[in-house]
Amino acid sequence: MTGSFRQRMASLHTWAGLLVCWLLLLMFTSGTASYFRDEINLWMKPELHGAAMRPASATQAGIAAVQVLQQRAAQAKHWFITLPTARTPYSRATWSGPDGKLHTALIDPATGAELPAARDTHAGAFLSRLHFDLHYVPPQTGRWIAGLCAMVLLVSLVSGVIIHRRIFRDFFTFRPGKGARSWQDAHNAAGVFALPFHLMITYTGLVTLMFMVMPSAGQAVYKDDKGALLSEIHPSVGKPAKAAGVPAPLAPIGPVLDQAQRHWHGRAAGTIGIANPNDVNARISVTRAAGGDLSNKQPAMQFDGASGALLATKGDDASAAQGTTVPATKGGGVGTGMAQGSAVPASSADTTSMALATHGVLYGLHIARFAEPLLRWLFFISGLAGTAMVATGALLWAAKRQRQSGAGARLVHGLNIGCIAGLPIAYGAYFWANRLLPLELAQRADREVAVFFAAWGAALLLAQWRPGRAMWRWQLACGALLLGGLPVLNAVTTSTHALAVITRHAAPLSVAAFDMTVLALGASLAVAAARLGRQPKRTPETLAPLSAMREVSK
Amino acid sequence: MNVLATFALAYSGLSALSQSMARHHAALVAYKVPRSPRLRVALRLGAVACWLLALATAMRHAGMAQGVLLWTGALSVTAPAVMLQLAYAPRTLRPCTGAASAGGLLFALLGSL
Repeated sequence: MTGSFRQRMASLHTWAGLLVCWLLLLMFTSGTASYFRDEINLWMKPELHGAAMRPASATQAGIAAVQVLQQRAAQAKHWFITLPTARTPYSRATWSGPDGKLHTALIDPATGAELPAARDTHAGAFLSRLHFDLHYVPPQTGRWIAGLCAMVLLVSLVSGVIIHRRIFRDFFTFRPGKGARSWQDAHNAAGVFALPFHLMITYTGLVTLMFMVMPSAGQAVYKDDKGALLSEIHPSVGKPAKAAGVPAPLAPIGPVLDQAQRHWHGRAAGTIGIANPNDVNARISVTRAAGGDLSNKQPAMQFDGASGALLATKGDDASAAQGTTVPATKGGGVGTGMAQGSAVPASSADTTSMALATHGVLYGLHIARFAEPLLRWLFFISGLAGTAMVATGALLWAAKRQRQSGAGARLVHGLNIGCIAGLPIAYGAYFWANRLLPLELAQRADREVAVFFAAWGAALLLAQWRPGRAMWRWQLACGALLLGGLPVLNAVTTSTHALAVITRHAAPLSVAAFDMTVLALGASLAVAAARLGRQPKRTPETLAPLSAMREVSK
Repeated sequence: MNVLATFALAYSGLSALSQSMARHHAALVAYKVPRSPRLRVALRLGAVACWLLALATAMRHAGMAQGVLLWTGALSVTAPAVMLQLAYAPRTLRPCTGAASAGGLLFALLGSL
């Protein structure tokens, strides 16, 4: 690292970026897919598509879920209900069984009937965990690796802006068909146009891991009391009381949910937790659904489970809290028993502190649970731009070194093929496995994941074996077929496919949207594969990096 | 309506900015528009006005916080459109900008009713 400041930043950008680019491709693609995690979940569980056609209100869904829990698990110590949203059309009821294991039932909110068990799949949860856990390594190690990648990406973004001499003059410049220069223009465009997103997502990604990668501040203030730190980061609305062992019927959940919705100015509940149901000391906590504001921390209310009286509120928006709360009475959770009143006995920290609110917004920005469809699509497209930025950066490194044919260059060429063209194959294979693996297969969910990594591993190995233009074409075409073929596969294996949506309105819209999205992604891969098939022009400058790889592979 | 205005005005602003730049003046040359400092200043002021109006319509559509995100996203996805037009079809830039700014103003007006 010698030379001027800018030259030193340039080598930092080049080599730091190269070090992490392939792992970043995995993180960017899986993270981008996770914006549509709920939609992917629904697509991968066709047994549940029917529930999506019958919308129901949060109150209706809550009543139905409690009914099912009373039948299935009246004696359980804890119930937890996730209410349906526009994106997840069914309720999920979870309880701890007598054996200590967690049981789950999915409930159609409109009919109140328990839905048949869906196929065994990790669905979108695999993709969102892959994004920061990296699957095969222990979670803690995976998060450290992901955190380090995010830090290096932040360094690369800042150094990239510094070395981009003509960031304003070249703002709209794209010169196609000029080899390395075209890749440089594409790299600049993907980086600069969505730069606010890239900076935000990298920084907030580190925020999600901040207590692991930056533990010093927490240690300095809280010493060794991790519990105190955790309870301030994740404030609870009040500790559940111990079960008294005296049975008492559970208060109807409908009025509780209605009261919560009124308190939150019309915004509905998202989750319900019930401790010691059917006991005099039952406690019902209701947490608001995400949406509207950016934070991932939502206010909660606690009710007496026997009487239905409001006990405490937590984390209300400062403006909303002023009108409805009385000044703090210490020892939150001790209720005064006002059943339906609008005045609320406030707990000690009723509104969220500034630091916690900031953390909530930064965390919330990263996972974007609040986003309405249009905003969600903008996040998704920006995520694709991030993927393109990393991919073009990796290709640019190779394009500038197309005359080199050492083992290092060969390794980079192979990794570029195996990640840029190979990852779509892995995602495609994962979705194909979801439809084609027999339903009764043991550990079916894990087998789907195994298919993902088997496909990716094969792509990586084949790319190392012969890293050339033919391998690029072959793998891009393979990814195009797998992704583009998904709508056909869905139409053959289910009755709720894109055509059913268009012609008979007989399937959820999000399933059709999934089909169309993977079709578009497959089509763009096909275009890339077709373009590579053309004869390259014979001027030295237009020797695209891809064509140069033929020499490397010899 | 407001959200349509946001995207149309974000595009118009970016397009006006690109036409004020020396490198992309060629997009105007086809119309025999001479390059002058006054034109450059006018285009840039127009661009800023478009973006401010786009921000206002985005906030009216989605509220303060999400409005800013929507606006940023609208700029991020319309910028590559301008770039690709300049690279592959520079002659379409002016008519598209005219239509987008007129449509954007109309949608903003309808959205404010």
